Amino acid sequence: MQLRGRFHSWSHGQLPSRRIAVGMAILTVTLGLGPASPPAARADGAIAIALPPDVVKQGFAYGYSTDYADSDKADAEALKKCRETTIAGIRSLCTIIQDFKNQCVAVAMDPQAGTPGVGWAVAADLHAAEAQALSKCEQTAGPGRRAACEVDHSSCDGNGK
Amino acid sequence: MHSSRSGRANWAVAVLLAFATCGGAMSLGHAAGALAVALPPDVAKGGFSYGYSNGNDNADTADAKALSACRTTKDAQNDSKLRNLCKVILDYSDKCIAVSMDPAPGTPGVGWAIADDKRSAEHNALKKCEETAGPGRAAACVVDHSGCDGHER
Repeated sequence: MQLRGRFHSWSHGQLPSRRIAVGMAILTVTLGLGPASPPAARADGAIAIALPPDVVKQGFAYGYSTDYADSDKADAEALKKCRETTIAGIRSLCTIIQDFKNQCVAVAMDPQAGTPGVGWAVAADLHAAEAQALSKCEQTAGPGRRAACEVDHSSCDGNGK
Repeated sequence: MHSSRSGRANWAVAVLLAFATCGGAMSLGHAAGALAVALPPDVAKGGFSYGYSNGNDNADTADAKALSACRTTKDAQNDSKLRNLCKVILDYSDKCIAVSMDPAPGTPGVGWAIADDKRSAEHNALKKCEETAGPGRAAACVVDHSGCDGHER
């Protein structure tokens, strides 16, 4: 069995006006062929968010991780990614809000700067996670901005699909 | 169910039975739960409040009840800053929830977890509290409330 880690990390909000920053980590596991004993499940994920009192003014940041060997490692990576936000004022707000296993995670937001719409969800499958995250975004998006919500990132952990 | 811990002198806990009334019992099909928290940047100073609601017909109802519970803890009622921080952070269905905290005022330890069974939720919530409790306070963490939504136990 061969394990290979691959990290993706990127940030939204390169424009100073867009006060949203995102960090994500996905650890991809590549399994080699052969009659090896079953690999230890790498199915721990976590999501961290920084949700200030006023998202419009202060922004929003999140980070999540999937396919880690244990929840401590998943937490550490999700927190790290959340704290990579370029919005200094909310970095300290990054908090793990949920650990998950063999589930999918999605985060949706209104991509326009200075808007309040954000939502996230963890669900049994990707479609459900995205639908729920969108719904949460729409609920917070404010008048006339519901339709602007879109899934920012989504991913599945372990055998979640 | 809701509770809070002040960052200041007197810590107060208010408990509200927020079970949805489903003909007197929670039944299958009423499986929407939500957790709202008010988590200031510095819990030791700003306090902590939360509310959750299990056994609702849908997520919207669960959200509204959890939010209301978070906003009506004694500490949240006495502190508009804390009250305004209440936000729904988790929805769940057929899962159990636990919230733990260090009950001493002016301490930072809080944790919560959603899991398939109550024991796991309590265990995980305690662990999260211990991780945030600070030096010498990990052992002070206790489960504040726990409950299950839908048919989980």
